[in-house]
Amino acid sequence: MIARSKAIESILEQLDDETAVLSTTGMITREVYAAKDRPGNFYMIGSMGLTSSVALGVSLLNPERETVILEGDGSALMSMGTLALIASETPANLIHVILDNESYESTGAQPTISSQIALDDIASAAGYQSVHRVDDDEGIKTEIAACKTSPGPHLILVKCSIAPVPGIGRVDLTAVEIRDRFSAHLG
Amino acid sequence: MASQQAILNPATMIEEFKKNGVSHVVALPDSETNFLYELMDAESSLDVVPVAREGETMAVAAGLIVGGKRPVCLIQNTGMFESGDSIRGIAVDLGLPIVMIVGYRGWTRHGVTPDSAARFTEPYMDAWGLKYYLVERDEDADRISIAFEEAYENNTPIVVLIGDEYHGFNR
Repeated sequence: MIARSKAIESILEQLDDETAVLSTTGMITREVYAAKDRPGNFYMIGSMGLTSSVALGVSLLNPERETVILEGDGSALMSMGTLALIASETPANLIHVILDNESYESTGAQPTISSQIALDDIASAAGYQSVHRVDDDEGIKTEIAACKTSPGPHLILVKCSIAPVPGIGRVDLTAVEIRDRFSAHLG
Repeated sequence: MASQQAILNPATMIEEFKKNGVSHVVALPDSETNFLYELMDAESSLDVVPVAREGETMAVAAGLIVGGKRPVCLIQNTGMFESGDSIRGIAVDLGLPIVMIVGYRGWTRHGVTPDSAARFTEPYMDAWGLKYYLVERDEDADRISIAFEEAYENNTPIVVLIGDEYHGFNR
C-alpha cells in the first residue's frame, strides 16, 4: 500500500499547472505544500471537512478548468452530504481524491470508521460519473489519466498507509495570502 | 520548573471520568487529546463512540442520557464552533446535563495568541450562555467533578476547557 505522501506526489505529477488543487487541513495540506507548492494550490488551514465544498464552488464557476480535491477519509466522513451534493451538481471538471488511511493521522492516527464502510461505493451510489479504488503508484497514474479524458465528477479512493513524514513543515502562507494567490491564479 | 509541574496527565482525566460514573465518551479525536484517546480506548469501563463530525457528539450524548447512561463529549474548541446548533437545540433547549470536555486550542495564560480558535472560544460560550471551567493541570481536575455535579443538579450543559499551554496530553 502506498504511503500517503507518495500518493500525493504521484497525483501532483499528473496535473498541469492550470489545474486547481484544493487540499484539506492538517497533514495532507502540509504534504502537498512540501511536495509542490504552486499558485493553483488552495490550502485549507482549519475548517476540516469543507474542502470538497469549496472545490465544488470553484469547479462550478470555472467549468473549463480541471479541479482536484485532496482530502482524507476523516474529512470525507465529516461532510458526507457533500458527496451527494457534488454528484447532483455534476461538475464535469472535478476529480475528487480521498486519501484513505483509515485514521486521523494528523492528530495521532486514531482510527476512523472508514475501515468499516466503502466510501467509493457511497460515491457511486450518490451518482459520481466514475469511481475508482487504487492502492499504488501505477493505479493512481492510470486512474488520474482516465479521469482527465471523460466528464466527471470522478472519485478516486486511494487506500494508503499511515506513514508520517518526519519533520514536515507547515504552510508558511497566511490564509489571506492563500486566498489572494489562488484567486489570482483562477483569474 | 513550573512548566514541568503543571502537567495534566491523561490518566487523571480517566480517573475523573470513572469517579463521575461516565459510561460513554462521545469523541472526535484531536491532537491535544491524543494520549487521552489511547487511554480511553484501553479502559474497559468506558465505551468510546467515534463520531464523524463534532455536532453529532451532543446528539449521541442526548440519546445516551435519555436512555439512562452518563456520557461525556470530547472535542476541540474548533469542533465546538462547528456544533453551534447542536449545542443550542439539543444541549441547551432540551435542558440536558451534557458535560463537554473541550480542548482549548491556541490558549495561552498571558492571553496573547495568534489563533482565532482561542480568541473566539470564551465569547462563543458566553453567547450560548454556557458555564465553563478551565483545567490546566492535575490539581484542577476536580473541576470536572464540579461540572458533573452542576450539570446534573441543574439539567444544563457545562463545558470543561482543557488549557493546552503545557501540552500535558501531548507528552
